Amino acid sequence: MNLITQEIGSFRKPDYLSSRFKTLNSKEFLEKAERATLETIDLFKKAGLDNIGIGGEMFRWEMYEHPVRKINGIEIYGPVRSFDNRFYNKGSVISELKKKESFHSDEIKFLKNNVKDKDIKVPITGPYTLMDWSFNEHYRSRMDLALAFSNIINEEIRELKNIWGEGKLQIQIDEPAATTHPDEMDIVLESVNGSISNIDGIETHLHVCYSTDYDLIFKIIPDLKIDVYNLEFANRDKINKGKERPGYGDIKRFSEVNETMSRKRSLGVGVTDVHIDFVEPVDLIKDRIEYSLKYLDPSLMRLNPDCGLRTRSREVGFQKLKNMVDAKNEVLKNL
Amino acid sequence: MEIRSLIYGLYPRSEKVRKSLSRWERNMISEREVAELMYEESQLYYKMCKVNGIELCSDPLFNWYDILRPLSLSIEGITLGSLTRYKETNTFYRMPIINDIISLGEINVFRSLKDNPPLPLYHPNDSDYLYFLPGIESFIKMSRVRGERKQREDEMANIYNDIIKKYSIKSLVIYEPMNVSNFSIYDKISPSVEILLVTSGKVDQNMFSSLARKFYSILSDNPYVVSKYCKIPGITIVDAFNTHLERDALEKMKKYKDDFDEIIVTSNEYLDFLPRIIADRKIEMMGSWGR
Repeated sequence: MNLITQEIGSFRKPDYLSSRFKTLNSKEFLEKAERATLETIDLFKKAGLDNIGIGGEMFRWEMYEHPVRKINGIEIYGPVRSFDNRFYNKGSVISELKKKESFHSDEIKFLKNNVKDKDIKVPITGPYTLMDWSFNEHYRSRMDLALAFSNIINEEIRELKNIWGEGKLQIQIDEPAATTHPDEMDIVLESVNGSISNIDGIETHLHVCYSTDYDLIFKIIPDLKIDVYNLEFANRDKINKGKERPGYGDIKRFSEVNETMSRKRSLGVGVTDVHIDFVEPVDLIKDRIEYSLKYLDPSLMRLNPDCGLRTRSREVGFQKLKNMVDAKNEVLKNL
Repeated sequence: MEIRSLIYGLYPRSEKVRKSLSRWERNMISEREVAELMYEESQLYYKMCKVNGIELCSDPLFNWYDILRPLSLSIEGITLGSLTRYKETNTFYRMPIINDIISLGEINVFRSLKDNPPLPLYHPNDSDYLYFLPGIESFIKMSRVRGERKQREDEMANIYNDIIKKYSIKSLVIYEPMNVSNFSIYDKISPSVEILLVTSGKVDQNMFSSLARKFYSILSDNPYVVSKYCKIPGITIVDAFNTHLERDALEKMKKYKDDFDEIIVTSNEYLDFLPRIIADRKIEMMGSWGR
């Protein structure tokens, strides 16, 4: 019996990479990104993770601009505000979208050649989020634009799978925007399904976080071609120990939906909050896991941080992951 | 038919402002320096509006971290809550937590704030200056409110009257970003102020029932619905959520020419959701409509 522990995506980059990320020439960049990936994987292994993701996304600056820059048909006019004085480059779709080059093949080639003893999972920004975070000057509707992104992501996943070759490849579709427009869940459904359709040999994950209504996702689970749902919970939970876990109430609902299906889906439970430096003690994480196990069969449960740990220092990120693994080991003693 | 354009609310920051604020956040430049830059950049913005023929422009609010923040931080009884999604956008604001709205702090002199660049709230440029405030009902809707909402709305109206008095405000743009059931709260605002009210969503007559006030302008999706409640109707015809330039808008507005002598055009949201270069182009385009 095991409870799989997994990374979600990003991890803080070492200074030698982050401070010069956008100014390095391609040779220097590759050298530093590879070095940072190996160092991060080493940290993940020391923490005891079963699945090391893609090694902390050292090849990527962020999740939107990285893929968008590799697609024809998108013009970036400048930054728009995310909050306070933080901005992101929001692209404008001005003509038909066509993939220019692969988003993540460099990462996967590197991992294929350098990681033999751990599972990996490739996060890819999802079609709905790419659509929602872009201006649309070309497509007739938001559905049409989401499906255009969906086709490109499908093409990208095929390419990654070809590089990976034999053996199952885990693909995680990141959709932080999935529930921001409750009346567009049909677009989420069609575009996510389109992005992974007719590709053999992949295990599909969906990552959604900071949603105000997970039920919107739960309602479409029977129709989504997703095997594992990696969701954020710790951020909405209290930080003192105890049997009551107010942040984890939605797990019961997930389980109820699962009960209605013959092919069961797994849930990656966010047990550590990536937005605070407070390192959750092992006992607190253990309480969260044990609460979740009241509703989930252990074979359907995975453990992960709420989201990528890029906003925490590498030291704090490591300790959070290590405590998650230690808590899992404590729980396993009683299972 | 005469067409005038209105630019309101937070305007996208220039690269210079973004970089300076970033340096200020890291204590690399002083609050005084950043306050001076906000003033200078505001004056450049007014100049740009004037050159392009925009007759109605409120403060660009370059030092506002979100549409509610400086007010929240200036009212005793309100604290800042968590980052919260602004409507269905990918932009976030700090949700005000309203306990008791007690009194308004200093807003029109240099003052340090925690969690926002320093005040003053506005950077006027002349006596015809157009002030800006977020809508009262939206402010309450976008907050976590302890106590009775209606009472908090009334208290906010009092605060707005204090602001009007402190600044001797004659003209004021109020933007209600949320769907509002009724605008009668504005009967509590000093009648001496000319208000341009920008609304969101679809307007209907019920929203104005029992309203005694006549606004200077109400800008909405439908000028016919609002025309009897204001002197000059307005239309939110420019899309602040798309970089596409509405070059056909003038043609679309021709349908109003037999019904109104004058109309004010504006955007369906303040322009901060666009890259600066596109917002500048939209100003140029809107100014050309008047000509």
